[in-house]
Amino acid sequence: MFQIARDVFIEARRNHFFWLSLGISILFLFVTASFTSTDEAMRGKLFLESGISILWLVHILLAVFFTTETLYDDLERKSIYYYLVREVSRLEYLFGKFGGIVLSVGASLLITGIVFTVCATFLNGFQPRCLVGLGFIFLELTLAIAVLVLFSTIFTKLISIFAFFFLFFFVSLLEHYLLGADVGSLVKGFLLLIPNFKYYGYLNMIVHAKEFSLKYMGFLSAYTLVFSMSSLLLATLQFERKAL
Amino acid sequence: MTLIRPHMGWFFALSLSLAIAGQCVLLRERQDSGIATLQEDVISSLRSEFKFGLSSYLWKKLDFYMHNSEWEEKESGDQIAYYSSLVNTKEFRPLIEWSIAIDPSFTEAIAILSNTIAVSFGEVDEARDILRSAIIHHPSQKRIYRLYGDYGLIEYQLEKNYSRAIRFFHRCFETLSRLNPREWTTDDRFNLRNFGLSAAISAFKIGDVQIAYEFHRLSGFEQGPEEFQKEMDHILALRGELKLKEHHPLRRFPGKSSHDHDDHEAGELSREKEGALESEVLKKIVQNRSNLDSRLHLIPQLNPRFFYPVSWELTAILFGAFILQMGGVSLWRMNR
Repeated sequence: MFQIARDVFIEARRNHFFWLSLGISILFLFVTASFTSTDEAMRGKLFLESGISILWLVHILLAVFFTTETLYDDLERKSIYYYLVREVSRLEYLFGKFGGIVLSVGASLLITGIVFTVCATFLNGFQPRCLVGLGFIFLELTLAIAVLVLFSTIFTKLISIFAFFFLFFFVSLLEHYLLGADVGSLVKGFLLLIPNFKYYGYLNMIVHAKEFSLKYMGFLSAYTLVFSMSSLLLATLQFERKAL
Repeated sequence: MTLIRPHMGWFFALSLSLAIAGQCVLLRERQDSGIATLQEDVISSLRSEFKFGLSSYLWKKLDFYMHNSEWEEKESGDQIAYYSSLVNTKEFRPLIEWSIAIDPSFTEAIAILSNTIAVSFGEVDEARDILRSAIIHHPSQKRIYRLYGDYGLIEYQLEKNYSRAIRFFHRCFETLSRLNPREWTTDDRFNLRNFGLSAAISAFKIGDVQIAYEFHRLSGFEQGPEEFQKEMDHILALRGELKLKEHHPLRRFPGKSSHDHDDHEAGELSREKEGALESEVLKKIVQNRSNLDSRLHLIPQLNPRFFYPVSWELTAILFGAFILQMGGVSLWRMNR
């Protein structure tokens, strides 16, 4: 399992999209930092919001495309058999792939996160909320990758991408509409079982938050762990049934 | 990595078609609303759409930043209410200046910028320059009355130059003819009453009671200081215009504000209604603050964006579920 994760990480280093996203993030961070440094009023929340948004956007796209590329390329190039014939179970294969992708995207986030934190410190002094913001993005990426792994075992590549973005936006929207309505506990329970990405909203919880909530961070970590694990287990069940 | 492949062509074609279709729908909507006209070519329409969208986005951002800025405390009975204001919003100037730079015909933003920097920051000359520049460079604005009115307010409130203020208020009501009364929004009504009253008091201060009454009438017979009001009521009785007072268009209150600023809705209501609404708003603010004190600025427990309250209990249940999942995985691996 760890070997698979390591292979994915090595593969990521050869991936053009990976380096491109890294370059774009750093470039945009520098541009934003230079721009916001011109005005004292822009150095605080505005830089924080812009910086976290850049990192979030680039890494969520990286996670989507890198996950689908990695998983579908293995099937297309038949390299999946390289692992499966070596007494690696399908569960270990999927968990290994998941670990490798999380590690690769996490490494990219770490590098760009360091650049972001240095810029933020240079502009407005060290702010712990930068690190919490990176934590939010990392947790969201972890869940996103797990959901994409699940979809990749069910759908084709394009449908997986569409399904992910549909889930990403639709669940929050559906919930938003149901909030005012008098819905039963069955509907509420159903909504609770679907991964919901609104909990990772960094604008309210990081940029404009007056204080940090340990309770919220605990909840978010537990939420990510449970839903990621559930997605991976469902993915394994589906993958076990799949004829290769 | 081969991200783009020939078979993905249909995907890009579909995305492009959807984008064009969406833009067409938007343009059609804007044309129907009279914001974009058919005389404009597509490129300039798209450009103005983009500018309008980006400028509005920054404007909305400003609203969000304001409501999340440092709060001011104010005692209200036995409770303390907390208000947010533009003055305490550090990001006010860059956001609004960028919003105006992108769309220089954004009348409302210009008026708020000039008014805030004049009244709150005391930069009267700069406020005047902003208004003058907006009037000169964009004379065809539909709501240009607002800029003249705000100029008049600066002269009336800050400079105490009443005769100069009256000139601007006069121009303000002249240019109001560009706007059909049916298009008056809540903000328009509030501003017109404010400008009318300020003009009337200015005229009263320089001793021109008849002009003061005319502006008083234009303001929808808005209540002023005692001495002024006594004189106005006297003229009203002499002219027999009580019915006009009751049915004045500015005294009718439509339901909706031109923009979705909940906190600004009090602007269009009568004073009694304003009082009632203020106490409601205060209650809300006090409640928000008590929530804020508990842990976080936007509290997951009570934030309507959260369907389920975030609590330690829920966190413990989720962690328990995760441990069970891990146990299940371990058992599965052992069995294999």
